[in-house]
Amino acid sequence: MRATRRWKALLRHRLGLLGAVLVAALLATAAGAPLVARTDPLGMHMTDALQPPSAAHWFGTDQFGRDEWSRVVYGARLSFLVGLLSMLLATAAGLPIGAAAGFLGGPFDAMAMRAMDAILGFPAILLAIGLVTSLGPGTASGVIAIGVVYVPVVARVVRGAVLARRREEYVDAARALGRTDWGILWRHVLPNSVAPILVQVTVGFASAIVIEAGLSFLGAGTPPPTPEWGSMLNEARQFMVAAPFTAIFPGVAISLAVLGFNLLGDGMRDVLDPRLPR
Amino acid sequence: MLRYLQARLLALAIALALMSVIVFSFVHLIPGDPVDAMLGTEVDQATKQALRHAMGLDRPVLAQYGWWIGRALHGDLGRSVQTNAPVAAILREKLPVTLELTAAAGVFGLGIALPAGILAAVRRNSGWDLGAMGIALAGVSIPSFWLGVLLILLFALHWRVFPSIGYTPLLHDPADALRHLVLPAATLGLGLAGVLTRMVRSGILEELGHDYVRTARAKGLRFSRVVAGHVLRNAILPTLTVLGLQVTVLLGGAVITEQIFAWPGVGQLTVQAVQSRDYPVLQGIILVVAALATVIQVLVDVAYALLDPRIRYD
Repeated sequence: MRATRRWKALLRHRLGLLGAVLVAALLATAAGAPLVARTDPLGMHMTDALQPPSAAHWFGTDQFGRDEWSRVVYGARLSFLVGLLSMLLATAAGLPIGAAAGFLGGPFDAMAMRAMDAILGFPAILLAIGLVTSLGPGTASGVIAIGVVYVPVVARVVRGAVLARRREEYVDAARALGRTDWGILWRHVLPNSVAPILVQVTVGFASAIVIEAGLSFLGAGTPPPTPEWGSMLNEARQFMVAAPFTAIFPGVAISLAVLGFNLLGDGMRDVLDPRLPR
Repeated sequence: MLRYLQARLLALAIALALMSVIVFSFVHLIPGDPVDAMLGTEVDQATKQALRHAMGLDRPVLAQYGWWIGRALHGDLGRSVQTNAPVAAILREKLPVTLELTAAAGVFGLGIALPAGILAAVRRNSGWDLGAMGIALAGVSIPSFWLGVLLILLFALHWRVFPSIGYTPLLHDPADALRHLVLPAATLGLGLAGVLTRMVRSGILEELGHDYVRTARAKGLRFSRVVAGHVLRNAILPTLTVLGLQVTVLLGGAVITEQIFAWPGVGQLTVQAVQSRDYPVLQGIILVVAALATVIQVLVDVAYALLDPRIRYD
């Protein structure tokens, strides 16, 4: 019942709804890439290089005659995957750290939060560049680097949520019933902290997509020929005069994906927890 | 205030120490021999041994860290594997160029956000408000590497108003330097403009709901005077803390912006260091930039506490 009411509230939240539609479109594109793409994103046809958009090539072709539409579509798959895996990683590490810090307090809390501060002190893209360079460039390194960068964000949100919940009456009630601390944390506190975590992870998807594309744009992320929006943009810079569309379509794709996750996150925040500041 | 300052400085020292450990560990995250990663495998043993010794990699890990951080604290960040130049000297040359871009982006961001945020709040639900919302959304959704490319397409290649790439030192030829600065500053500053517009707008809206606004209006002050004289100061202050956080974001964003506009600062240096796997340079950049960002953030927070006494007792 509560869930349906929330869904209805999100449907009334116009920008949140727009975000949900954009994210759903990205998800559908990513999942159905082989059907949506029409052609092989890696298939080179040198005679068709840098063709403007047409009926045969909706988004034109790149310098190797590869179909831009197919490459943008498969790029959605990669972006979504990187976002999903890096956020899973960040949550897998950040959730226990934040929960323990908030619930235990004391020296563990102080130590864990100082460590999180240290990671947050770095410009995200610089820390990611450092990690990716050491781990060796590639999509997997990118996922790990983005996950690490985002661990403190998740940990802080979880800690804040746990701190806010641990003084609630149902926690006292559970304690009076003889539940242990960890039992209360897992059974009562965390399930009631899901909303802010979900919001943060949704917004984090947007950051992950931007960082992955940024790394690839700099040549430190997913290497060619894999279709990736950031590296497509980077390659397109050489042909900006002859074929500006090769720079425009991947950029539009990134912006729409990022906009979608941000709007959805904002909408979810408004709907799930009206008390949180906007 | 003194206790607040002490606490902040202690937290800063701990954060910087932990950050240095993270930067130090980069070399040790390399799978296999870091010297092979830097020089390739075709180099003779003597050269490898020399680099291993120069970077202290032949010592135990803890001793290595002590040696590395000890030298770093004395301003010695080692030498570039590629050019053998001292990393500290390279950074002294490149960092001001990046700070120039970062400062210009900050001015751009504030220059857009202040008027847009104020207008949006004062004329709530009007076309101005919608426009400000547009800036805020564009700021968060248009990544700099696309915005930069778009700006070059429009302003450099199509309308030919600004040069597409390059850098002129400010003292060398101020007019030309500014022309080269506009597009990179806008590229780097739009994200900031988006975040701040939202902050300024919501800050003013919140202040407008307070009783003192009604009092000031009741005693006959015009609305514009109330906003300019009372509301603005209270509303802008919280924006300052966000600005501190945004310095970190700007310094990171500069890496990408510099790459787009061939801006010869730390960002370009970073990309070169990544490509040539020049770890001493990469570590030096990340350590110095992150430390700089963290220190600036603390300075901003302290300034905030000085301006707003309520903060100190948090």
